[in-house]
Amino acid sequence: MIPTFGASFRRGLRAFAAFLVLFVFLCPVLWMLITAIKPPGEWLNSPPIFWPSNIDLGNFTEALGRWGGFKGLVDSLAVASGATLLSLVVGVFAAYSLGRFRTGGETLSFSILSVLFMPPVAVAVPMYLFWRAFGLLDSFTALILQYTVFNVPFICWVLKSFFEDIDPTMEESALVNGATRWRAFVDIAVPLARPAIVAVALLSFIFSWNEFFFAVILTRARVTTLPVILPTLMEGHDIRWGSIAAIATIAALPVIALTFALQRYLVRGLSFGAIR
Amino acid sequence: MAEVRLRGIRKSYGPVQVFDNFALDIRDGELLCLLGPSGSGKSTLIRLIAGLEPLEAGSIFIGPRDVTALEPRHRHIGMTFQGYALYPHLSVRRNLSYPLQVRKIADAEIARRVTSTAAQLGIGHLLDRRIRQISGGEQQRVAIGRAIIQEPELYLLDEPISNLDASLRESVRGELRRLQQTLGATMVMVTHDQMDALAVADRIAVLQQGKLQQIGTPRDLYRRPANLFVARFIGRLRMNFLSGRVAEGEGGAPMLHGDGFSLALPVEIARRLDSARGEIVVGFRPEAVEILPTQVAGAISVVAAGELFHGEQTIELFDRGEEQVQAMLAVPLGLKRGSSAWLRPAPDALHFFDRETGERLADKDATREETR
Ligand SMILES: Nc1ncnc2c1ncn2[C@@H]1O[C@H](COP(=O)(O)OP(=O)(O)OP(=O)(O)O)[C@@H](O)[C@H]1O
Ligand SMILES: [Mg+2]
Repeated sequence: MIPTFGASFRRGLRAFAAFLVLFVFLCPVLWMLITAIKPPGEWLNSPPIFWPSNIDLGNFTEALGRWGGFKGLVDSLAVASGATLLSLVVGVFAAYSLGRFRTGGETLSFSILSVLFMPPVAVAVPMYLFWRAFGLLDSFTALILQYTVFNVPFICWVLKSFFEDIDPTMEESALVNGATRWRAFVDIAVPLARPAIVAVALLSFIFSWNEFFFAVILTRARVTTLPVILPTLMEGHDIRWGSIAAIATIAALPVIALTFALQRYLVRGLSFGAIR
Repeated sequence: MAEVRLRGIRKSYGPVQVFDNFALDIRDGELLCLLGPSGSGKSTLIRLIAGLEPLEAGSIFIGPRDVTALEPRHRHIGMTFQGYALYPHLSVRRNLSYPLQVRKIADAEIARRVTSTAAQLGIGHLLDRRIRQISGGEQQRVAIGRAIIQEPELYLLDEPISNLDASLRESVRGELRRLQQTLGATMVMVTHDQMDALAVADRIAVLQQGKLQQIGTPRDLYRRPANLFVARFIGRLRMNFLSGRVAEGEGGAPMLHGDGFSLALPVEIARRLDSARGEIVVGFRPEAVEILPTQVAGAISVVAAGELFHGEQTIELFDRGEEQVQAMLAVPLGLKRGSSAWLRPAPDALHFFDRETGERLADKDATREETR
């Protein structure tokens, strides 16, 4: 069938709209990448320079070395992976319990969810005093636990409805077939919820990786995640835009890579309850 | 030995009480069908036997063992679920082998039993497929395979054939019956279809709202339904019911008088009745009637309302005022709609019930379920 003029026109219009949206969203990312490879003189040139005269990787060495980007990368990885792992362990068990056994009824699951509605500023000072009382300021422990507190409610909420949607007779048949509750959970419930588990793991990782506010408040020099390094580069007269762009690039890459690697789970895992 | 004894069972879901002081005996090696309408508690009952639901009171014995407090995995039961409950993330082979793997049976033995079970059920060619990739009928076989591979002494099958289409059901019924006999196991099969139950069961237990209405052989239930509920529920065609009052006929013989009919009441029943006691319901099956062109004693006046073709048989529909009555005949009569006729039930095929309680009024061979 030959497409009518109207149909192909509409298709063209839609492609154009999509292009426009992508352009608006990707422009800053592109500018970040370009700035990261520009030599110092071209950062804030007027008129703007759209492609550097020669590709300069000095920004990256400066960012990783002089500005502590390497330590930032390692610390960020440690904090984000630690928080993600811990959140997953707590969150998956809690969500299964809430979804399958209705532990605590609606009240408990809603109170857990309500943590997400609380503005972080409201607890910033109390949390600072709390960690100080335990002598845990500027420690991995504090940051990992703090992020876990924020990740778990989110994980619970997504996974609870996922577990609720898994037909309980599958686990029950495992019980009759000789499995313990634990075996039924591990063999049946967890594999069936895997797309959702991967999705919430990724989102927890991204949250912990990007988090700035509590990282600034709870850490000094011993623990420095990438987001807290950025503002230190903006102090003084000589703002190192190239290094800032380089650190931002380094910070963005793992998240982008993970998202692409796991995107087939993301789509399935975040369309709630679509298991079959 | 795997007879099952349920004693004093009490079970509720929140405010909904399903069973109260419920008792049931299942004999060793029999195929017992649990029959009842939706919501009567069939699934709940077998889930209680399997240990998947907590009991509020009562005890459950499987063979000599009191399993009341045992976890499901220690009860050694082969069970299929209403929706099959197969594991969608595993292959057919892994679905079959799962019960053996959790019980840590040796790999060689698992492989042997998977092969022989698959062969027995004709699903050998499906072993490497996913559950999603096989049909409903094949899934039903896999579910049964997963139950029998454990070689238990007791099977609990929840609506194993209800989801199959009509032609498949017929053949699977026969296969299930044969399977149960080869295995020599005790089998409890849930169904809400009385034709399934009549066809395969050694005995049928009829449930309604958590109450055992009657238990007996298919023949018992068909010939001597214990109450109106069972009478209505059992049989390919719905039983016809008319109500009337007891009166004295000519010569003092007891009669049942109703609108447009008057039937002789067996003396055994009349003797036990206090004639002031109100209405009696008489039931007779459409299979046990004659149609007559003129009025005779013991015939019921009806008006022809149509004919349904049923292959070898024809079902004649009649009206009696507001009520409908039907008869099944070998030869179609070709009655004109609206013409009047007389319908005479065979005297020994009449069932009498107390209208108020619904209970069967005892007749001469009034041994309720034959004792054993
Ligand atoms: N998990 C539950 N929570 C609350 N009520 C329940 C639950 N399971 C069953 N019931 C109730 O218990 C009663 C018996 O249910 P059951 O599932 O045993 O019926 P059934 O005879 O198997 O019906 P069906 O033919 O529809 O499968 C019904 O009234 C049902 O609503
Ligand atoms: Mg049921």
